Amino acid sequence: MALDAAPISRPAPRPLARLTANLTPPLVVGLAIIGLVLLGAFLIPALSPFHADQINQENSLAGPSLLHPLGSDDLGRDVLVRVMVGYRISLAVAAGSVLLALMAGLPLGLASGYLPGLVDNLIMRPLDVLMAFPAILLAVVVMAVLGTGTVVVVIAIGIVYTPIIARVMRATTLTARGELYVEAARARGASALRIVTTHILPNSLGPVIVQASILLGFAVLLEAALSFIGLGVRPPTPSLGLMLSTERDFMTQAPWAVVSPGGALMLLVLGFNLVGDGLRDRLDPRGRARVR
Amino acid sequence: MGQAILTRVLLVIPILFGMSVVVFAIIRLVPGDPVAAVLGLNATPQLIAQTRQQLGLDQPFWVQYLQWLGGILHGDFGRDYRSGHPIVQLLAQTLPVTFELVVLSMLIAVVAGVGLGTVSAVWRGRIPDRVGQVFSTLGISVPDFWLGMILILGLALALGLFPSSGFTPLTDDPLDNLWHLVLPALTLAAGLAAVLVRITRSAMLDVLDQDFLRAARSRGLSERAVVLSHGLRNAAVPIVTVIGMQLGYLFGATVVIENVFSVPGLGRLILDSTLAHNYPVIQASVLVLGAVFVLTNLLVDIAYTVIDPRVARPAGA
Repeated sequence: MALDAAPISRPAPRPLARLTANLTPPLVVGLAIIGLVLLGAFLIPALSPFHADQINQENSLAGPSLLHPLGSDDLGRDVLVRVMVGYRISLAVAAGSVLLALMAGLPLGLASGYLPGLVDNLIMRPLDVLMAFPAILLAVVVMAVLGTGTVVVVIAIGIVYTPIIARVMRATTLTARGELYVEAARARGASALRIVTTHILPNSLGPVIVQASILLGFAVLLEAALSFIGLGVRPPTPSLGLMLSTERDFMTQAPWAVVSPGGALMLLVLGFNLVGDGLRDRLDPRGRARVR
Repeated sequence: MGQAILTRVLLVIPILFGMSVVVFAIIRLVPGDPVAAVLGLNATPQLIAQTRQQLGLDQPFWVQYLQWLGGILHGDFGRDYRSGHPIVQLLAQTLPVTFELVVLSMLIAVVAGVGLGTVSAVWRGRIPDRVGQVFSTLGISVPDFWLGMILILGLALALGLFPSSGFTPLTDDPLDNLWHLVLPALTLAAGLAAVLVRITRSAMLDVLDQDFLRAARSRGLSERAVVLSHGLRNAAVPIVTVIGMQLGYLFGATVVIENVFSVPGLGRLILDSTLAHNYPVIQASVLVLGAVFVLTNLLVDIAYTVIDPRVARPAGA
């Protein structure tokens, strides 16, 4: 029987179709949180009468009021607006760094999974070394070399996450390599590049999407931690971590200026974690994408 | 089992080697003149030339690397050009502090996490289980440095139960030392405890329904003995795996948490030297913290082989 007479299996339905068909409670709550954060981050600074950098010394460390629902910081700036603008930085850094890790990690993982032996070793052994560093430590190493600033934070977190994405992609590629649909494609004379990009990649996206959603939450935390210790986003950009680090000197007088940025961070990370959990139940029941 | 452990030990060598290359490359990759940065403001052209020679920067990369690595293997990490002290002295002062902090948080996290996880599994679907789930979901999402600040605000500044920062060496006054480390250790432990609640709960749920537990019960063992000695022991493998995976997180987080509580540990040394562009100290401290992590991870893996001999056997045997 000719191989191409057999129905060529396109095994799994597309991830997005499965998603909408199976909305679980954590997924719904997580998406709702992220939706609200996005809405707040873009609407509140636009609608508020205050600007994130608007200094008002007379209003320094004023408590929550109708005008300033979350109070004001040491320079009299509105905490709510700053938290919302801080969300933009968190989201941009998280999205940028995970995107960077995907752009680097997916090809590396595909190549090492599809070409075992020399290529696999050349790619994975250096990545193993990078993974042997605790995440923050590796980020600090990158920042020791490149300096600080928003773009450097994106690059640093992207480098930290690249081996993680590559490892997940490699594992799913290794499994897919032996599947019938890949053999069929090979028998039809498809090139390695074509097999990898049009057959293996789309069918391995489940675990990658799960891993990426979990990493988004960690990226938010990592950016905040780096900015908090003075290695991340530079002032006056209102990053949530940076706000916590400047306001901690005033935390007995104005606890609201410390409580709200941290609470805001936690809410966003919670949203990403819930989405990650919900997606994992659906897209990666075998647990190929692992936490950290 | 011996062979499995040996293989695992041998696998660590190239990782440590690679780590040293990455760390060594830092000083070469810095844009601009690292020597001027190392010396800071009081750099004269003469001093720069002299330091450049001392650092061996006038030699080829691989010669520099071998000299540096050779020094480290003999316990010589070079000299801190700012303070004039040997770097190994800085490491000897800070590493034990960080180690103590990590061990303490690990203990707290294991007791709290495994305890709450077991309780959650036994009372599945009831109030303790709900408490466990809320704790683990929030604990995974909370930024640890912020939790540290909230603990300082509540337990140290408002209630005065613990000191808000500072440190007493263990050898000076063990009780006061512990007193100062309670809040930083709790802060570090929260995230790991949250993960352990989840893992313990699901591992225990897998085990609790199995035949050998039913057999233990039918032999008349108390439910307590069944859960603690038979249940937990068989759920231990995934729990130990996760502890190993999360160790790196604990070691890494000390960079941030030691800063929150002014603990004079290795993490703080890494941060201070990074902020000051003090490259020789960055290299030494990052390498040591990374290596300590890799080696403790190795110990966890060996523990894993001892707990579950099946791990050591090749698949299918």
